Amino acid sequence: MEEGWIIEIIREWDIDVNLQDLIQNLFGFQENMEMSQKKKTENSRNYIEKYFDQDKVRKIDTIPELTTDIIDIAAEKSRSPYRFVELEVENFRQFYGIQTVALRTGESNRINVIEGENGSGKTNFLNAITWCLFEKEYDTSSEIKETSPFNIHKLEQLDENEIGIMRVKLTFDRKSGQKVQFVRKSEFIRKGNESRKKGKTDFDCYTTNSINDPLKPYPQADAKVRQIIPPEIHRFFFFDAEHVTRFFEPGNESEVHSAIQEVARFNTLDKLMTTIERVKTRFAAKKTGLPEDKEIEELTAKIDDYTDKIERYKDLILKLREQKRINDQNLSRKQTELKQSGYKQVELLQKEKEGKQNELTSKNNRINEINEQLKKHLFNIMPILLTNDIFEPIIDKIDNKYEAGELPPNIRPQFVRSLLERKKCICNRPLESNEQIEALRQLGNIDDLSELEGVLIEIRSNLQNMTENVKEEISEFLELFDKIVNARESYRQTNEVIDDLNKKLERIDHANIQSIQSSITKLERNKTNIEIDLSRTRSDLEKAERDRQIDERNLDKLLKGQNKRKKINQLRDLCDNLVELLQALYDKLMEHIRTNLANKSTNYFKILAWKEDFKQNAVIEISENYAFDLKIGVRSMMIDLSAGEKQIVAISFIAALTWISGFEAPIIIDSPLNRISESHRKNIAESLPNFLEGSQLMLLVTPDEYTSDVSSILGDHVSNYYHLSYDTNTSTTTLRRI
Amino acid sequence: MANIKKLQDLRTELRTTLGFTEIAREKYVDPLITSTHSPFKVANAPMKEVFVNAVALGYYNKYRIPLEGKMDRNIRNNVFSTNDLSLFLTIAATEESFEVISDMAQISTIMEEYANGGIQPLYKMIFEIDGDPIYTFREKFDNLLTDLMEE
Repeated sequence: MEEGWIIEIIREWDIDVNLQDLIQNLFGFQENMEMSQKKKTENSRNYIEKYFDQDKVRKIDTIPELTTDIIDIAAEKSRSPYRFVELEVENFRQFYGIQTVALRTGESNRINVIEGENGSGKTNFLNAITWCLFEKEYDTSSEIKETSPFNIHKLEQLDENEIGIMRVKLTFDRKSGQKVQFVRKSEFIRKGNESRKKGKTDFDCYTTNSINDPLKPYPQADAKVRQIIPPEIHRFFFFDAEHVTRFFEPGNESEVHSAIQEVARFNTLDKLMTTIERVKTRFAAKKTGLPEDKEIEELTAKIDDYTDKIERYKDLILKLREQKRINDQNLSRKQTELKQSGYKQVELLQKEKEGKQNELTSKNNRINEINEQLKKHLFNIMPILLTNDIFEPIIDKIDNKYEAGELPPNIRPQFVRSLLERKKCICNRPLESNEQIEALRQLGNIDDLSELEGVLIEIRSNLQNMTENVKEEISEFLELFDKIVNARESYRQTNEVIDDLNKKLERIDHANIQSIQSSITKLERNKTNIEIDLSRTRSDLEKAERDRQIDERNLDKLLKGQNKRKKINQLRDLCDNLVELLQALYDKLMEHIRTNLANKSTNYFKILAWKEDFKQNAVIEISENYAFDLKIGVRSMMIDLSAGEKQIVAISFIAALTWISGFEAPIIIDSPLNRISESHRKNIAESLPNFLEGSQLMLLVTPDEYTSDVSSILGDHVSNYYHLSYDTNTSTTTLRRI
Repeated sequence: MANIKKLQDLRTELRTTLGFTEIAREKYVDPLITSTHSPFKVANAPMKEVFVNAVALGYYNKYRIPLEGKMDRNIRNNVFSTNDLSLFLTIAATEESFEVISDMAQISTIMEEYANGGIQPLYKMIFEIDGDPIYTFREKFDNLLTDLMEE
C-alpha cells in the first residue's frame, strides 16, 4: 500500500473522486520531509484553489458516514508485503570486504535467522540495514556511534590518503513481481590511523515492476523508502524484543498513544488539519474591502432607474420629433394657405418675415460661433485669473533674492569653474595664494536654491508674460462677450420684428387670414417650445447615459469584487469542510484503531502464548486513555505476567501496530527469545510461523536462544540461516550460511 | 558644484503621470472632456486643461483634498507647458515655502490635491449652474476680471 492506509480509506470512502485526489495531494505535501511548513501551506493553498477553479471540488453538505467496513476494506485491500531478497555489505563496521546475504523467502518459509554470539555483530547487521535505508544507525551505543563506521581491517590495508568504499546494497521484492534496490555508498580516506568521510553519501534506488525486466534507476530514492517504511515508524518494524515491554510500564500510556499516532500517521493528519486552517486564514486575509451584496443591490437599482429614465427620455424625444414633424407640416400648410390667399399685403408681410427669419438663423449661427471662441478663452483665462494675486508677491520674493545676492547674476558657477581651472582671479590676475583660491571656490559654491537660479528667472519672466498675455486674452474675451451680448440682443430684436409681423398679419381685416395667421403664430410658438424641449431632453439623455455609464463601470468593479468575495467565502467553506472531513476521519480512525489494535494484539498474543488459559480467554484492552491491560474475564493479568509473557504481549502489540500502519515492510526482531524461559521457547518457536500473517520475519538470535530444539521446530519455516563469526584478530565478522 | 536648472528640466522631475482620484475622474473629469456642452471638449489637450483649471479653482477656493483611494493618473508630465509649471511652482511656493520648488515630487502631490479639490466646483460651474457657463464665469469673476484689467 504505497500511499499508506489513510489514503486507501479516503479512496474507499463515499466522497467525490476529485476530493479524494485533492486530499491525497495535500497529504503528500504534508508528508514531504524536504518541504518547509511555509511551502506546504503555499502548495496546499494553490491546490485547493486550483481544484476549486477547475470546478472539481465544492463544499459537501453532508459528510458521508465512515464505517468500520471501509477501514477494514482499506486495510486489507492491497496486502502485498515487501520482502528482503538480498543484502550486500561492504566494509561496514566489522563486515570486511563484500559479503552477500541471501534473504529471499518463500510463502511457507517466511523466516530468516541470523545467529551469532553477543558482540559478533547482530546489532550492526541491523544497523547496516537502517544505514542503507535511512543513513542512520539506531541501535548502537554512543561510544560506537562516535567511531567511523568504515571497516578497521580495510582501513589498515589502505595507504595514507587512499580512498576506500563503504557500501550497503539492499534489495526488496513483492509477490506482484515488483523489485526495489537501494544502494548507499560512502567514501573514506585514510588519514594516519583514522578514516575520514570524503564528500556526501550517495544514495541510489533502482526499481522494476516485473521480475523479468532489468532494474532501472528511480530518481526519488528517499520517497521510495518512505513508501516501504517511513523512518519515523521503522522502530516498530525493526526492534529489540528485550526493550519493548516499556509500553506497559505504568505511566507510559502516552507512549502507546504516540505509537498509535505515529504508525497511523495521525501526526500527519493532525498537521494537515492545521495547515488547512492556515490556508483558510490566508483566504480570509484577502477578504477585507470587498463589496457587500447590499452595495451591489443599491447600485443595480440605481442603474435600473437610469435605464428607465433613459427610456423615458428616448420616448420623449421620439414624441417631440413626431410633434415637431406634425407641427412643421401644419405650419408649412398654413403658410402655403396664407401665400395662396391672394392678398398683396399678406404676400409682402410674408416675404419680409422670411427675410427676418433667415436673419435670425444667421444671427443664431453667429452667436454659436462667438460662443465657441469664448469657450477657448475661458479655460485659458481662468487659471491665471484665479491665481494672479500671488504672482506679484512671488516676483517680489525672487527680486529680493537677487538683491540679497542669493542669485548672483554675473558670477555663474561655470564661470567660477573656468577661472579656477585657469587659476585666474575675477579681475584676471593670477591666483597666488590658497586663500584666494578658497575665496573664489566659495563664491562658486551654490546651495540647492541657487541651483534653481535659472528656474526662478524663468518663473519671474513667465509670470509677467502670463499676466500680460492674459490681459490681452481677457480683453478679447470681453470684446467677444460684448459681441455675444449684442448678438443676442440683435437676435431678440429680430425676433420681436417677426412677432410684430405676425401681429400685423393677424390684424389684416379678413377673418380667414386672421385665423390662418393666428394658427401660424401658435404653430411657430409650438415649434420653438418643442425645439427647447428637444434640446433639454437631449441634454438630460446625455447626462443620464453618462451617469449610467459611470455606475455601470462601478457595478462591474463591484461584481468582480463580489465574485472574488464569493469565491473566497466558498474557499473558506471548503477549507472548513476539509478539516471537518479529516476530523471525522481522525475521530473514527482513532476509535477504530484503538479497538482494532487491541483485537489484533489479542490475536497475536493468543498465537504466541503457551498457557492454555491465555490461548483461550486472554483479552488485551486499550482504554480510552491508552492504558494497556491483559484480562482473563474481568481479572487484570498484567501484574502477574512473567517477564517472558510480558515480552510476548509487547511483541504482539508491536506486531499489531505494524499491521495497523498499513506499511508492509519485513519485521526484524532482535533477541526474540532471550527473556523466554527455556521450557517455553519451544512453544514460541511453534507459534512463530503462524505469527504476522504474510510478513517476512528476520530473527537476530544468540546460540542460547536458537537452541537445537528451537532450530528443529522452526527448521522447515526458515529459508535462510546465517551464522555470524567474529574474528578477534582482525576484528571482522564473516557471515556464513548454514 | 551644481548645474543651473531650467523649467523644462523640472518638468521631468514632476511625477511621470498626474491625475485625479478614480472617483473624481469618472464623476467629473470624463463628462468635462466628452460632453458637447463642456468648453473643454474643444481644447487641444482637454484632460490637461481640466487639470490646470481644477488646480486653479481648488487653490482659489483654498480647497485641497488629500489623495485617498485609487488614483487614475494618465496626464503625462510632458504635456504641461512652462507657463503651467510656473503656475504650479508659484502656487506651491505660496502655499508651502519658497524652498519647496526644489521638490517636484511634493509639488506633484500638492497639485493633485488642489485638482481634486477644484474638480467638483469646476463641474458644477459648467453643468449644474443654470444658464450658460460663459455667463456664469463672467458673472462670478467679474471683479477679478475688472481688477486685472485695471492693474
